[in-house]
Amino acid sequence: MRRVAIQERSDWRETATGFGFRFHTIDGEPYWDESAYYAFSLRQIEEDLEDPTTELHEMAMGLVGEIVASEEMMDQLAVPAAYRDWIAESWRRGEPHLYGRMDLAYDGKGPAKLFELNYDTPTALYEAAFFQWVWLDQQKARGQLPDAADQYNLLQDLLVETFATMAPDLAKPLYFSAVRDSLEDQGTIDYLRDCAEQAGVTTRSIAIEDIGLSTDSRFTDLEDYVIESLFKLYPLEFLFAERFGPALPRSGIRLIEPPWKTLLSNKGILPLLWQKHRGHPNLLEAHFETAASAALAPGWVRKPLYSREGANVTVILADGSQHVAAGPYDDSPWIRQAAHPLPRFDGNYAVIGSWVVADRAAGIGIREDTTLITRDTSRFVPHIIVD
Amino acid sequence: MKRSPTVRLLLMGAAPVLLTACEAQEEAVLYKDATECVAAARLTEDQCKAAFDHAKSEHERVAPRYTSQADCETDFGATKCQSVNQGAGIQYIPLMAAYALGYYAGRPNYYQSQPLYYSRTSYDSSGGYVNSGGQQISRTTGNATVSRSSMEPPSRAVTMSRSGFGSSSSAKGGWGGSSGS
Repeated sequence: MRRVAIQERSDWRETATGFGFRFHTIDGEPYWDESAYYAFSLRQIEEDLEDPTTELHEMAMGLVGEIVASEEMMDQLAVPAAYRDWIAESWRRGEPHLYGRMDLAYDGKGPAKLFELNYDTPTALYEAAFFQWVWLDQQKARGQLPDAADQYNLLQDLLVETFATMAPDLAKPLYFSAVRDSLEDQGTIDYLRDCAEQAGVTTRSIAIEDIGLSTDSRFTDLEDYVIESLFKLYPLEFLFAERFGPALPRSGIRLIEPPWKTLLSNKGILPLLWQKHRGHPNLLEAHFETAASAALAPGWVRKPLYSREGANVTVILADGSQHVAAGPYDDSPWIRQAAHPLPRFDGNYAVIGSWVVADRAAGIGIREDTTLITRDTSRFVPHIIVD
Repeated sequence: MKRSPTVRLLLMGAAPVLLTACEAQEEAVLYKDATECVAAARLTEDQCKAAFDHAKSEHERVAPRYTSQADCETDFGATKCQSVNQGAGIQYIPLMAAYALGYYAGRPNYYQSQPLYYSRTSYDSSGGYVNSGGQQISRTTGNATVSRSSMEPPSRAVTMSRSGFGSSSSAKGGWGGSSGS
């Protein structure tokens, strides 16, 4: 695994515009960054990233049945009581899931370590699945990268295939929804909607704020059509806490990701995984924080059960240095995880987002930040495979 | 190769490509009215009329809605639209042009029916029958092969409230406006 500087394509911004990539620059700061790429060997990809992703995913899926059957675990994960039966029912009915991203720390040697599972509302998908693919193709065509260069990126194939598999049991149209004013979230659902259309699924989109509630507790679009199937790029725990939340269980709506997926997106899955697979090479030691827990010691990280974009994470490294990301997610219980600093390449901390589509390891996207905690200000950097 | 052999965009990009339908297909039959249905002699007169009456009774509730008569006529033709007022002010809907019969959930002898509209802009503007959700059903009346979902048109409900979702993202705002991760 190496970080290699490369000439940017002079026309990449025009290419981005032509392909509907509108969030490559966020608040004037670069987000898509092709001034460098990461190069992996095929062995690193297959043995150190792909296989562990498959295994970690299976380990996580293996916990869902136990959690939904255990009030104690539901308590530990702070799942609101009013929604527990609905979540459990979605699992027992086998409601299919679409995708997830696990964040891994990996430096090219030794086992990758699982930081967390982003299994409810993962983003950075379009840039990993599509724009990264186009970048490699064009850089090869222009002689900037060798013909033999490959990429670990089966995302689009598997997304389209999974939508096609889901289609027969899904009421159409399938609605796609995200926060109206988030360019990044809107771009992500535009892309997923495109994949669904490629699979022959009729789709619509609606801002999460525009969803209506009918007199008979159904969710409706702006023309009063009942929304029966909804892909929501919006945290399920937010929906629970909001005004329409109580209508969810009786609305008959089918969600993607399904309700049970929130259990895996919860940081509490990390101590549960550790309890069950203590010492697994790809896991970091993790525990629930309790009233009896001592102050955070060097070598440990504190994360809220529910948080997004690295918010409210505190890291104390073994040398005692403290790194804090402030944030709004201070209203849920906490977990503690053994600190494992991200590897640094040319002054950049890199985290690997390893994708799972349905239940298959599907590819990676790399994000870099100048700080230890990967935030929504991080940059997306493409990768290749060369031997 | 460890990557997708091809990638493409239908909606996002500047150049859409043809989509491939992977959905289950089933048989349906279209009639302009109960008389045409009876003449086809597949169903009894009672069945034809019951199916027609059902489609007709659904028509005003489910038909595509327009706020302007001109927009409606652009899609369905001059004199092919009617006005309705169901509490949301005057709206325009196309006239019911035919009805479609499909087997209900694959069970023979159980028929479901729905109203159809003749859209001038469908089938690449050569015209054809669409359902209330705008899905293309067939260019002509008679036998047709349709996707299963097109025989289950969307239902409507009376919305009493909106903006019941989305408040957490503004309360937790300042994070680039993004709620993903």
